[in-house]
Amino acid sequence: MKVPPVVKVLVKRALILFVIVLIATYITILVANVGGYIDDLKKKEIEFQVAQAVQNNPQYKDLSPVEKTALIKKLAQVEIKRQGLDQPFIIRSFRYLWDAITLDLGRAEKMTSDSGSRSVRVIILERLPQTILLFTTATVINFFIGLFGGLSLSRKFGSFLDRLVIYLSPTSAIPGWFYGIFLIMIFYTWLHVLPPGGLVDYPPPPDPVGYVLSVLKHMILPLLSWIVSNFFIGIYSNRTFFLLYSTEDYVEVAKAKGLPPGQIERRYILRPALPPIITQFAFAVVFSWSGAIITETVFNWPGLGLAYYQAINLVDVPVIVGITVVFGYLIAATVFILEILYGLVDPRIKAGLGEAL
Amino acid sequence: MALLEVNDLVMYYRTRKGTVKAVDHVSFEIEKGETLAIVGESGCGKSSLSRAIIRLLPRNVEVYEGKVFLNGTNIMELSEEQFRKEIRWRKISMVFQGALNALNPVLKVGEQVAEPLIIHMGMDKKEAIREAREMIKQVGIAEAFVDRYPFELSGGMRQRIVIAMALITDPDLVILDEPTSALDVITQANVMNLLKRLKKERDLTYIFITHDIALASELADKMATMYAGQVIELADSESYFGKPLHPYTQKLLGSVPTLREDKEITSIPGTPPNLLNPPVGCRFRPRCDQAMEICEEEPPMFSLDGEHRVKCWLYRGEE
Amino acid sequence: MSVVSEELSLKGVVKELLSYKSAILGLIILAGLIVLSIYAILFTPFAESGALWNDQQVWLKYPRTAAPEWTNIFSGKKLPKNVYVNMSKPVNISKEGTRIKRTYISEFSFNYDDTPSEVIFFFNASYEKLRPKISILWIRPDGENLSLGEYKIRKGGTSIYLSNNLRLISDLQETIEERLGKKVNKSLTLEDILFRDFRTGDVMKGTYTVRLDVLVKNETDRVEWQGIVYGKVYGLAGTDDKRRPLHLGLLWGAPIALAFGLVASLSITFIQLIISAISGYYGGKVDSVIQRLTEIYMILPFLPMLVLVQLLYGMNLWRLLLLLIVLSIFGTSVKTYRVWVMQLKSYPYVEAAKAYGASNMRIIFLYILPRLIPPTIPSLVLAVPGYVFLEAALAFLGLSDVNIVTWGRIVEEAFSEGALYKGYYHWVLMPSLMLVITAISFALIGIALDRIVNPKLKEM
Repeated sequence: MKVPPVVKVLVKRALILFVIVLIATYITILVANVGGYIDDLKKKEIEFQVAQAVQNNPQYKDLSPVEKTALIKKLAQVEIKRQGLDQPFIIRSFRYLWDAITLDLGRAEKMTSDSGSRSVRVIILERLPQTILLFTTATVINFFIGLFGGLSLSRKFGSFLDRLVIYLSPTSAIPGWFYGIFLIMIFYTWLHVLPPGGLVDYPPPPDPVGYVLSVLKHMILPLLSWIVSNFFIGIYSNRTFFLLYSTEDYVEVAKAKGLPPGQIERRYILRPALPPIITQFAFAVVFSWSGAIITETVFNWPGLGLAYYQAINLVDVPVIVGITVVFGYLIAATVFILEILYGLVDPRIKAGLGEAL
Repeated sequence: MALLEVNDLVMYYRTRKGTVKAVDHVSFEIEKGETLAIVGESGCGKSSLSRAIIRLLPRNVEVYEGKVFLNGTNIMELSEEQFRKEIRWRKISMVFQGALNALNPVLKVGEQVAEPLIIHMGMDKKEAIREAREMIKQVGIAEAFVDRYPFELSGGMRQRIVIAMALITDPDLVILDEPTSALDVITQANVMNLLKRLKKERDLTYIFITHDIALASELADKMATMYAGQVIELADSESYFGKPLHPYTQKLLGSVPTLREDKEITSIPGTPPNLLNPPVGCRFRPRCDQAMEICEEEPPMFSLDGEHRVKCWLYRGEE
Repeated sequence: MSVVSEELSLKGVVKELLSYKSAILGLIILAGLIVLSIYAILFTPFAESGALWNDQQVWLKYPRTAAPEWTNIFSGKKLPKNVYVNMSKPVNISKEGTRIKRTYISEFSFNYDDTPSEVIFFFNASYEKLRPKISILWIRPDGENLSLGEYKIRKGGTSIYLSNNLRLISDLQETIEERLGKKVNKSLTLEDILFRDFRTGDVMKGTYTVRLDVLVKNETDRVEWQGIVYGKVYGLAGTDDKRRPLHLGLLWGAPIALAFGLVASLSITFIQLIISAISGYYGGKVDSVIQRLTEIYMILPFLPMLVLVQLLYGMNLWRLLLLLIVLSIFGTSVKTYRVWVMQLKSYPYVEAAKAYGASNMRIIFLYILPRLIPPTIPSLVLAVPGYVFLEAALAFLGLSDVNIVTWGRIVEEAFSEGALYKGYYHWVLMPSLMLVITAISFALIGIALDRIVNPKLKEM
C-alpha cells in the first residue's frame, strides 16, 4: 500500500515532537531536581508506602512502635535501592523521566482533588478540562475576531476606522489578566452584574441547562479580558497581513480576470494566507496556555493554572512538577494538531516538501 | 471600424510626494488581427497604460478619464459591475509580467485556467477543466499538468499557462505586459514563437508592451513609442523601423546592436523624467540634441501621410 | 517578502518616527519615565530602597492608607493632611511634690471636612532614675476639655497610640454622654470624640489646643515630644497600609521596570540574532541542531519553568532576569531571523567579502548582523511591556523579590490586603497606572516603528 507523502511527513513530525517532549520533560526534571527536591519526594513517598504496607500487614501486628519504625526504615531502604534511587544523579533522573512520560506523577504533598484523591494525575485530569475549555474558547474567539476584523479592515485602508484601530493598538500591550482585574472591579464590585470568579454559582444549578448557563456566565469576564487585550492588535496585524497578501501579483491577475470581489478575497487572499495564519494561531494557543496560570488565579477558575498557583503557595512540589510536565504535553499536542491542519492547507506540505512550523 | 480606439486616455495617481501623471492623454487605434507594440523605458507609463485600459486602477487614483471604444462601445462609461462581467477577460484579457507570481500558489493550475470560463461563460466545472486541458495543450504543456500546482512548474511553463489562461475565453483583445522579461533567452524565444503561432491560428489582436524594441519587432504590425506618460510616435512597423521620426525613437533604434551591419551604438544621455514633475513643453526636450526654442511648448501630435504620427515640433509643417 | 532588502539608516528611521504623533506621545512618556528613574537613583536613597521599604519604623510619621491629596477635588470634601503638634518652650515650670512639672501648650488649626485617621504622640526621653510622667489635655475649639490620660514613658523613644486605646475611648465617651445628658448610640472613635461637634456631629473647624504636662524628677531629665494628627490624604499617590508613601514606591519601581524590560528585550533579541546568524550562515549540522533547540523551547512551558525555579531556588529579581533570557534565546523568532540571514547570505557584497578573504565571523558581525537590526527594532520595543508585565505577574503570584520594590509587588500587596474591598482604590490604581503608562508608551513607539520598517507597507 502506498503511503501518501503527507502521512509520512506527519508521522515523522509526530516522532520528532515526541522526542522533543522527552527532552523538554527531562530538562524540567533536571531543573527541579538540581536541588534534590524530587529525590526527597520520592524517598518520602516510598517511606509512606512501606509504612502503609507494614501497618496493614498482620504479620507485624505485634511489634512495638519502635520496632515498627526501625522495620519501616529498613524496608524503605531496600525499596529505595531496588528502585535505583540511591544511584548517581543521571540514572535517577532517567527514572524520573520514565515516570513523567508515563504520567506516573506521584502523590501530592498537601493538595487533594475534589474527589479526595492525592494522586497528582487525578488532580491534573480533574482540572484539565476547565483550562482547555476556557483558553481554547478564548483563543478561537480572538482568532476569528482578528481574522474577520482584519479582513474587512484591509478593505478600508487609510480610512478613519483604519487609523482608529492603529491608535488603539497600544491597548494590547496590557495582558488579559490585568484587564481582568479591572473588569472584576467594574462588573462585580461596582455594578454587581457578573460573578468575580469561579466556575459555577454556588450552589450549582441542578439541571444541566442551568449548569451550563451558569458556567457560561462565569466565563464571560475571563473571556472578555482576553478579548479586550487582543482586540486591536489582532485586527491590526491581520489587516496588515491581508494588505500585504492583497498586493501579490496573482491578486491583480484575479481582478483582471474579472472575478467577483468576494471570490478574490476568499480564493486569492485568504486561501494563500492560511498557512501563516495557522502558524499564528498555533503561537496564540501556546501563548494562551502560558497565560493560564495567572488568569485562572485572578478569576479563581478551577483549572490547571489555578491548581498550579495553589501548589505554589503550598509548595507542593509533585503537583508543580507534574503540571509543568503536562503543560509541555499540551503544547506539543496543540502543535501537532496544528501541523496536521497546516498539512491539509498548504499544497507544498501535502506534496511532502518542507516543514510546517 | 477599429477594434480598439483609445481617445485621450488619462490616468493620474496621487502619492505622498504629489500627483504622478502616469498616462497623459494617450490616443491610438488597433484593427482586428493587428499587433500593436508599445515600447519605452522603465517608468514611462506603459504598464500603467495597460492597466488603465482594463481598468485596474491603483488605490490612490486621482484622475481617470478619456474614451476607450471597444468595437464602437465606450467601455469607460460602463459601471464597475458591468465592466467586470462584460469586458474583463471576455473582451479584453491580459498576460502579466513576471509570471512567477501571477499564479495563485494554492490553487491547481487547471482550476486557474478554467476559472474565467466558469465565471464568465457559466460553464460547469467539469466542462471548464476539460476546456482548460485543451488550452494548455495548445500552449505546449502536457495535459496532465492541469492537476499540478504552480510551484511544480518552471518559469517558462508558468508563462505559457498564463498565456493559456488569457486566451481561454477567446477574447477580442489580449494585452501582454512584458510577457517574457522574466525569462531566459531560450524560453523567451519559445514563448514568442507560441505567441506568433496563436496569433496566426486564432487571428488574435495583441497589445504587446515591452522595453525590448528588438523583441517588439518580431510580432508588431504597428509600433508606438511611449515616453513620460505620452505616446510620442505611432506608425506601422515598416515606417517605424524604416524611417523613425521622433529623436527618441531614433536614439532607441540606434542603441540596438544589429547582427549584420557594423553600427556605431548610441546611447541616450540623461535620465528618464520624473512623472511627478514632467518637464514643461516637450518632455524629451532636456535630453534631445535637436531641441529648438519652440520645444518649450508642448507639441501636438502631427500626422504624416495620415498614418505615421509623431509628437515633435520637427515635423511641424509636414502634415 | 524580503524585509532586509531596504537600506534603512538609523537617522532616517528616527526622523520618520518623529512624524508620527502617536510615537511622539510615546517618546514623551518614555522620557518622563527615564527622568523619574534618574531622579530616583540620584536623589533618593535608591540603593537602600528595598531595606527601607521593608522597615516599618521608617514610615511611622506617615498616615496609614491615605489617599492621594488630589482626590479631594473629586470627593468635594477636604480630607485632612497630617497636622503636627510641635513642642515649643514650656509655658510654665513649677514644682509638684518632688517633681518638676513642665507645662507645654501647643495650638494647631484644623479646617478640614473630615476627622483625622489617628492621633499619636511621640516621645524621646533621657533621665537618671525615675520615669517621667506625661499627662495630656485636649482643648477643643468649643472649649470642651478632654483628658487624654496619664502615661509613664521609658528611656529612648516611646509612642503613645491614642486611637486604639479602647479604655480611653470608652471613658471619654462616658464623659461626653454625661455632658450631653444623653446616650450616643453609635460607638465613637477617638477622632470623633476629639474633633466632632457633639450636637451636630460635624467636624469642628478652628483652633485646637493641646496641653502637655511633663513631670520629671531631675532638672537634667529631658523629654522631647511631638504629636501627630494623622491625615487621610498624603502626597501624589497616597500611602499603603504600612504607611509607606506610594509615590516613593512608584519612583523606586521606575528604574527597575525600565531596566528589567529593556535589558530583557535587548539581550534576548541580540542573542537571538547571533544564534540565527550562526544557524543561517553555517547551515548544515549546526543549523539542524539549533532548529531542534528552537522546537524544544517552543514546547517547554515558559511561565511554569520560571515559577518552578523562582519557587525552588529563591526569589531573586536578577536571577529571574537571567533565567528569562536563557529561556527565551532559542525562541521562535530565531526561525524568522534565520530566513533573513539566509536571504542576506546570497547577497553580492557577502560574496565579495568572502572573495577578499574575510573570515566567517567577520562577515557575520560586520555585514549580516548590522543589516538585521533595523527590522528587529519594532518587535524589540514592543516586547518590553511584556517583560514588565511578566514581572508583575510573578509578583502577583507571590513570587516577588522581597529586597526590591517593584510596581508589581505593590499591586500584589494591595490585593492581598484586600485594598479593593476596603475602598483603598489608590493603592491598586496608582501602581497599575504606572504599569499601563509604561506599556502604552513602548507600544506607541513600537507600533510606529513597525509601520516605518515594514517596507511593503511604505509603498502603499
